[in-house]
Amino acid sequence: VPKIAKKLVSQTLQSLHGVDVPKRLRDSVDQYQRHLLDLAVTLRTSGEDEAKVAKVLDTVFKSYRAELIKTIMTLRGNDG
Amino acid sequence: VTTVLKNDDEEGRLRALDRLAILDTTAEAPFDKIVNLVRQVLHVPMCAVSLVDRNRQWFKAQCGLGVGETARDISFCTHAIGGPAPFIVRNAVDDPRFSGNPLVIGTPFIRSYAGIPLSTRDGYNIGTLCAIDTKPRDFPDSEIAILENFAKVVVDELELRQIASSDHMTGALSRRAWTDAAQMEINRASRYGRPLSLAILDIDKFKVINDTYGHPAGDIVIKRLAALCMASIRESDLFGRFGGEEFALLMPETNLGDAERAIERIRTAFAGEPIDTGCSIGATVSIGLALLDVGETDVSALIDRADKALYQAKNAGRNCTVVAWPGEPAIRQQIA
Repeated sequence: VPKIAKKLVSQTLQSLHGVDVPKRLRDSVDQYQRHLLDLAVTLRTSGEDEAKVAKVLDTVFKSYRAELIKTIMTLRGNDG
Repeated sequence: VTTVLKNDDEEGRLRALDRLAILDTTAEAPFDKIVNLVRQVLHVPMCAVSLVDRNRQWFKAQCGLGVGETARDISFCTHAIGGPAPFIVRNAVDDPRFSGNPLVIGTPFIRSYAGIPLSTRDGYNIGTLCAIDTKPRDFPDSEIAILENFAKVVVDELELRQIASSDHMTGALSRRAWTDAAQMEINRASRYGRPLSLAILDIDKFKVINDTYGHPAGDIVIKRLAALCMASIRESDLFGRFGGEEFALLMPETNLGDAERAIERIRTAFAGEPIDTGCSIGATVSIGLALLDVGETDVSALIDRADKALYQAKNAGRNCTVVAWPGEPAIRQQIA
């Protein structure tokens, strides 16, 4: 289960590649990724199929990513 | 890292909730999506991200409940935030704590409830992610584990917003976050004809401090003023860093006389104690103070008047407060 969950999370997070996450946000993003993995594991453990888990992760992550980009822009504005 | 839960510190809990600046904000997709996913995955008709305020629970997101908030004294979530563990009610009708609850005997006819506390990093339960059913039911461990992990994601989302709204060095609000929150307070004060004061604080000769003692020492001086302000202000006040060595303090429900007394306490305390930065530095602060004018609705106009008073305070020799009275910016000084 953890292996499949890890694969699904990794697929979900692909769209984060190339995003320059400021140092100040890295802990927060790392923690989020751990929580996403925990969520994937519990969903799989409860019997949800891969497609369903992937869909849940994708839905949750898409809106997080949008907020993350907004936050990065805000921090750059605050700092600059 | 284990966080110690501060169950008994209700005022601290409310301040932690306040720091998130999330109450009464508009709906946001991440939270809406999570409650809908919980509803689908756990097969429940209702789910909410509930934030427990002093006298109410307010829903940042909900599905199936049909209301934006309820009184706190009838909320299940108030019970859920009392400890670190999931709070589960299998049949509210059989539970003496809830059998007479208006949410049980009336709409939305709650029968079963599972609430996971939303815990901040500093140990406060500010609300819950809860799944609710109109039928009695168990919530097996596997479902509770899923709900717990969704709750962690909710907290991650809340913290992301807090990072964006706070100044990294001091913990004060960022200029943008302060301006947005200040505009809301000004709208409210203007609508109801309530007094509201604004102080702008600027550390005197800060460039000299930096040039003489170095930037790390300058940062310590900035942090000292911020800490002093944050320890002195009320829950309803808004404290923000405008940039560099300049801060703003908005005081709702405060006339000029009371604001002046409050701000003078900060000024004298700051000037009164040398700051240990490795060397002992004596720093002072100049302050411009302005009251919201009748009919005034624009935060920038109020900032402009407080700024002018600050400029006069600098010209008057620094380490003083200058008050811009409504209308003409007449001057009253308090020099240490």
